[in-house]
Amino acid sequence: MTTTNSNEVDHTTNMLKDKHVEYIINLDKKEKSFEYWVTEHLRMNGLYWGLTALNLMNSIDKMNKQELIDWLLSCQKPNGGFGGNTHHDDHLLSTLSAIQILVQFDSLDKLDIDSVVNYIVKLQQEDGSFIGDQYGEVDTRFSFVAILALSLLGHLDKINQDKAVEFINKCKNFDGGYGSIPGAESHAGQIYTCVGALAILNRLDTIDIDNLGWWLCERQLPNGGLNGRPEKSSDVCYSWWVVSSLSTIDRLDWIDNDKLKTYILKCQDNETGGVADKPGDMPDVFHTFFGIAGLSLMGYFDLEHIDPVYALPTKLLDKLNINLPWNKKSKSFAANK
Amino acid sequence: MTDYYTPFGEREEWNDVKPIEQNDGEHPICPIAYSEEFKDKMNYFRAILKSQEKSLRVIDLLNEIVEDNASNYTVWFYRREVLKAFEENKIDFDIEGEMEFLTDMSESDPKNYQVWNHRRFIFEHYFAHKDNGSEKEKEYLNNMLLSDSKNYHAWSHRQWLLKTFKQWSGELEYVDKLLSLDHRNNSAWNHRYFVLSNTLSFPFGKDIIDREIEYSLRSIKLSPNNESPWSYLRGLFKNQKISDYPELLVTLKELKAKYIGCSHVNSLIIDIYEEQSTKDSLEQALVLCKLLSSTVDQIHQKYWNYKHSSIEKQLLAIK
Repeated sequence: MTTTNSNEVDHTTNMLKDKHVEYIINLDKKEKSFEYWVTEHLRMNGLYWGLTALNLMNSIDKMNKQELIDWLLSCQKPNGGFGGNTHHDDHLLSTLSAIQILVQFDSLDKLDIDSVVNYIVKLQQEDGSFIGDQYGEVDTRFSFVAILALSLLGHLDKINQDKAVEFINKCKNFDGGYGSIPGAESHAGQIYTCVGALAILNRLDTIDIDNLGWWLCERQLPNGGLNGRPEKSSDVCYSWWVVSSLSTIDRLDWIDNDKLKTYILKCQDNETGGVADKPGDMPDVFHTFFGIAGLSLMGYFDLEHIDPVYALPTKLLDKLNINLPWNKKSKSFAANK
Repeated sequence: MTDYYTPFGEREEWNDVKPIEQNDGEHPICPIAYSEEFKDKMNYFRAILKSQEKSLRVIDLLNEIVEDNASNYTVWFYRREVLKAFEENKIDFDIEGEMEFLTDMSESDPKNYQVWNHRRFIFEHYFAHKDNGSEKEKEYLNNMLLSDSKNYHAWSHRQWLLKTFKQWSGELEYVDKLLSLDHRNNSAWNHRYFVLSNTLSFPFGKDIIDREIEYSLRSIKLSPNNESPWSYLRGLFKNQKISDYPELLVTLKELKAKYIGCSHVNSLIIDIYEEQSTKDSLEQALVLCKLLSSTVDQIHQKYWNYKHSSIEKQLLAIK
């Protein structure tokens, strides 16, 4: 690393790995803060974001595996789903996070898989869509989350895959992108989920790849950052959603990777560690994960490689023998050629 | 803790309820340090969930909780259970007040899904069949979209309203209004497409296509680098050919000469040439790809190089 003086590292050209690790492992010590308790119902997601970021920086051993698994298992409800925290209702989003965490702790065997599969399968609707909880919100995000979770558990065959594809395709828009429900505006976050779901279901052929790729690369702004919709401002979270989508459809070189790298680096907090949504803002675990994941996918700073669909380290997915035909760093890639 | 907060334990009307503390076990892994106020409210909520009380005072308690944290879906779910019980037991409840409460909530927290979801329930059950019910809801949405014309939730709610209750009239005019305020508003362009695709069938008729070509071009002429009307224009030709509208190509060529640095106009011309798929048209497309990658749109050089090579293949195939 180049240093500007004895202590200070230029954060616009260097990744502050040590500080990010410290930032994440200290997160749970901030329980007195306001944002801690308002995000209390999202703790499971928060743990997944933090843990995966650590994993990409080869520092997962800094977390107390046993304690976290015990806590995680205490969040499972009798219906098989997981809540965002011990005393919260189950939700599909926290259920996926729980599975993704267990994969990273190599502890899927601690899970009563049948009960989780049962829970997810029931969330599929007549039209092929998925709801996120018993209260009925439909969103292509939930299609993706359900499909991803079932795939990790090896039970994709338990849902109607054709119908699931059919619903996602109904959410495809005239600009090649996808929205949350049929007719809803294209949004980079939703595109990530639709592309991911289609990838897992082996239906990337239904995507209008050049049209979508063009829309996605148009998201890069002169500052190097990416936005999520036309005429919106850049935000680090799109460094994951846009970059992963481009990567899955093999069009990552259509944006300027170096410029995006610089933008993400500028969003680092050089005092506390962590990554913010925009340069100069307060960091949070959500953007820390997305920033680091984006850098990993573009192959910078010797980070552990993340898969653009499963949002988990490629090497763990290889260990589970999951087929990743879109992932050039996966051992399954060559086998698919 | 704020000075004016009265803990529920000190409120006379709650004397009969025994709060239930959260049990995190002896050594909680992730101890949750709520603010004392919030903790107090949740203790009473837990007691209510257990007793399944459905009364007006419960609504007051729920109001206080969601004002602190509007994302707790269990609280909203229970609120609907309470309202359903009021309906069944014919308990008088100010449903207009409920809608006003939701309006206030959405103004302070406009991107909270739970608030929108609850609103959908309230509208469908209590307002949809009232005179002017849909009109009033549209007025509310107009206000929300005036303060943030790209709010995804507000748009979803609007599209749901239109589609479920067949409220299409006046929508194209509404889009006109939004686009006259900001012709770069991609949500409004998306909405225009939504209205057309739900009220007409594909392929659009020639009269519609001609009208919409003119509409998009009017906006394009205001700012040729605005990607939204270009995407919209391109999207109009679903299930039909752009090359069936030769006068469009003539216009595009004129624009191309005028807007030297505009990649969109070149891109659409390339699409038309590709569609025509003659030796001559493909060769012209190749020239444009070269122009874009070398000068006009260098930032997307990789894209144009890719396009160039795929058109080359197409050309080889017809030779």
